Amino acid sequence: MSGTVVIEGPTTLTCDVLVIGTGAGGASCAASLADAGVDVLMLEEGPYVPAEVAPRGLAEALPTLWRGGGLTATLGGTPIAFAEGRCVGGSTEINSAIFQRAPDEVIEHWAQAHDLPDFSPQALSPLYDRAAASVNASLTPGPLGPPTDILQRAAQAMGWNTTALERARRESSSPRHQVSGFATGAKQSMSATLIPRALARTARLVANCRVDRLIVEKRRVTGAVATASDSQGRRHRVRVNASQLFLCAGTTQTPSILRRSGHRKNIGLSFQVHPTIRVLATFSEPVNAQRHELPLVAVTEFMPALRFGGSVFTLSAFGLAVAEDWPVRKRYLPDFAHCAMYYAMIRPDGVGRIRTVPGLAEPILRYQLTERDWRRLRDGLALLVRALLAAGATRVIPSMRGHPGWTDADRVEPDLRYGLLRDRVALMTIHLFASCPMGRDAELFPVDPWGRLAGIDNVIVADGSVLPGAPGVNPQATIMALAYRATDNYLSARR
Amino acid sequence: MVAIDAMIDALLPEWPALPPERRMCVSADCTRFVRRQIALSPAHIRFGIHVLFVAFCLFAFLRLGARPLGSVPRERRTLALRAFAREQVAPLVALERVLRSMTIVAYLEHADVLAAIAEAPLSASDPLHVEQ
Repeated sequence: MSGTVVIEGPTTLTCDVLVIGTGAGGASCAASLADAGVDVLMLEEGPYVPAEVAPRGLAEALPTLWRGGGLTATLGGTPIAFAEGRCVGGSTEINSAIFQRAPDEVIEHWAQAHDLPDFSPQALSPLYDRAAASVNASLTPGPLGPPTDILQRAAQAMGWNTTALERARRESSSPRHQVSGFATGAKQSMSATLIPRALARTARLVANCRVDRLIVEKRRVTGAVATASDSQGRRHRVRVNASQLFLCAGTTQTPSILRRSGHRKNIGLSFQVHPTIRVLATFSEPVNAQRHELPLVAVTEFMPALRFGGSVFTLSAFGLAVAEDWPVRKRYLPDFAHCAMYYAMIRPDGVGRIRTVPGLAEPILRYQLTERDWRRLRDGLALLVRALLAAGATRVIPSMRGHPGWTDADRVEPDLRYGLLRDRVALMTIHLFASCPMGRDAELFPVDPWGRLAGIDNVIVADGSVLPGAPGVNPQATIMALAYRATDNYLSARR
Repeated sequence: MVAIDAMIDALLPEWPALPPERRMCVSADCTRFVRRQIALSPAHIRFGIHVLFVAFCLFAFLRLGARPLGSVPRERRTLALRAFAREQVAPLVALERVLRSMTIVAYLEHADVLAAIAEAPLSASDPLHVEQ
């Protein structure tokens, strides 16, 4: 009964609980439901690429695992390039597997601002523990290499606090997950952990199956209409009948599915990202970042408003940074062994909107940074550049077109006194959330504190979209914790 | 060579040096990859890429004369592309950046290029320590 389902023609499937999406939220829900013996069917828009055959380079990963082949960006004043997974396991298959809990003050702020009962650092702690155990979140043993040492040294030079980063990993000598910044160790994404666990129990999975719309009758969803692609690329209509829906399609797709299904109230009006600016730092001594773990320390001195960390460094990832401003940076390409990449990431005030357009498969995302966000990015960039120069960087080049980089820390503040050049800066993010935020007031928030969708009786939303706002850290742990919370609440009501 | 293939070919880095026949082979593989990536991109972004590509073709037509882009020597195509991006109109720069990003990913993960990098001596010019 359990296992993957192959679609070869028009099909009607029936299940007790339908889970749409298999990322951090969907996989956590499906595994918990399967543990409880519930008949679960998972639908995933992208392909199933089991961990043992995961792509080893970006050129293979981008078309296979990334939404839109990685060519996705928000529109608005300054476009922000964003990355989302589109495969079984969702974004956990393409991220760096950093596992961080939301800071206590952020959780307390969410609880107060959104009137969330039983929502405190203490209440969420066991859920975070469960999420950590699911993916074996742990510190990477042994020397971590120059990229980490440089950031540590930069923080020490400035007198800043740092935190060692846990990752979803297990010991292995395989270099398979280098594309995610692993020098050694196997990444514990959803396709390596909770998806196989759910499939080994009572869950079924249909991959390459995109949900077109939900079937809504009165105040209940009775199923979904989807389009599945078979191994020959032929498309087949699939209808799924279910008595309960867990909608976990991710921050951009969950609001899209709801809007396509005619449910629009407060949906997709408040999504947020962590705007991030990257710098490329050069050193006189070899760093050989491509041979080491990505920096596994974060500067937490200015958390939650601002955080510094390090980027995955493979030759092609470095090439992407060089391509941002080819005329200025192309000369660094042959000296990749002397370079490393770091970033400043802010917790923003700005919000965006997610809209669906008839005829377009993908939603349009608009996002606008506030003046305070721009100031934070500017301040973050200035601090990061000064710290890296203090740590021995010979030059630090920001993601600003035409900028030759700084070699002298005293030049940074004067050069940035008028702020960032908004038409030249390249911003990016891999963290998206809060497009259907949870809150007590059904007039203001589309989802209640346990993820139940307002206006429909049998839909629970459990993915990045329900986060009340920006956590200031990688959201995977929080998504998993809130998915466990929503599933536990559902299962206890069901008994 | 059709126009977009000629454009992608012009975006290939000079480093590492490859024998001409290897380079042609790498160029063809990179072009296939970039075309596929464009096809996978969201429709509104793909539309933008196509519009900007038409703009570049018009620009190249005026700058390089009325002949197919593929028949223009690579160096001149590269110069035209550079001049196009130098117009400093954000969308024009964005087109160049998107195509170059995808080209460079395919290029730097190509087996022939990786083999050439492994054989190449470290940069003699040491560009990190000039123009301080």
